[in-house]
Amino acid sequence: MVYKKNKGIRIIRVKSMLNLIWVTMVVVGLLVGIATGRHEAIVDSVLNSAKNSAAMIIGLIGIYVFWMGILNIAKESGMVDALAKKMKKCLKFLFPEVPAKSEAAGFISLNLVANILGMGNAATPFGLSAMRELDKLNGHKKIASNAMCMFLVINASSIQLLPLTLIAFRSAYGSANPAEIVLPTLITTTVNTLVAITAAKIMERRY
Amino acid sequence: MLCVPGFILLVIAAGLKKKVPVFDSFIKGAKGGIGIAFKILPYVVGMVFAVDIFNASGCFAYIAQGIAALLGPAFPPEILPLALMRPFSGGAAVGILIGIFTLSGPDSFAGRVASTIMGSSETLFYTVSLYYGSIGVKHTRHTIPASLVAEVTGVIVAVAVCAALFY
Repeated sequence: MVYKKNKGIRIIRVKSMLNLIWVTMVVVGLLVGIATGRHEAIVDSVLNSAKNSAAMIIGLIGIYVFWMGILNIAKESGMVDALAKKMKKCLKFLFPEVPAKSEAAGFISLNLVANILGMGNAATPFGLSAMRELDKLNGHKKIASNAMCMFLVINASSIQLLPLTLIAFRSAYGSANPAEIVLPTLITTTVNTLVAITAAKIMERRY
Repeated sequence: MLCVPGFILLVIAAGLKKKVPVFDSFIKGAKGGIGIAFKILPYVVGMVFAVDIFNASGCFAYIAQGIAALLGPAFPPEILPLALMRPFSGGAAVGILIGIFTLSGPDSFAGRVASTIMGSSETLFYTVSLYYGSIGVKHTRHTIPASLVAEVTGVIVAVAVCAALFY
């Protein structure tokens, strides 16, 4: 925790929120698990979780390698820049500190479009490339820039329009009308993204 | 679903049009992908581990029970574990969703709200850990608070919209 006095207003900043959350989850989890006698489940988690997630990564490696390849073709054929040009106004509002012609703008555009179209597997490598470029623009500082926060907040709020896998799921479990949740999902995802953007814009001054 | 093959064709077509050596370009980009995957591996392992432990200890269940007690009957209680887990683990959330589908059916109020929540949200902590981890940024500022505000709003809106549309 870092305690700062800023213009006479006392602000307590948590330097690394992720650090706090991770430590809390592990420590509280272990203590509660031991206290409530869930020894087997805890030991099982400790031993197997790392193994399982490594297995998951193998799949991810293939996906990332593939999509980074496709991304490079798109980049070298000018597609990424063309897309960024079309999304210029949108990007200017959301990411005012990112120059319109930068690599970052291109990758951000591609990530957002891929997410909207439901191409999650492609969106993540594109997003990681965007972060790399935003990091360059930010001078490799250890503190997230406004653009990084906004980008993450939009990604985390999910901008996918059509939840296709979900519809398939519902159908598999016997739903009489699997696609009925498309409208509520659309409304909810739009609202929560708008709230996310608004919250980020407001909070970026104080944090 | 046709988006993906369509997109790939589009990209290759654009490359051919600009006389880009398509396969070489692919390889060049692909090589970068390997590095990225290995860079994020520790973050994935770490985050999955923490969520697993917290879940296995029953903590998530306790918290869900506590919140359900506070919220009252209008809120379908089965969706609370889902709403709580969703920002932490996509896999666990899907498991809970299936549980709700099996118990109450996908067309029950709980089933519809759960579907809406799943379709309108992302695995927040995994995404944050991954994206920031890959560039070594530690001070994430308002990223998590802003996202949590959005997540909570999303859950409330999901319940409200489903109630309004279906009943």
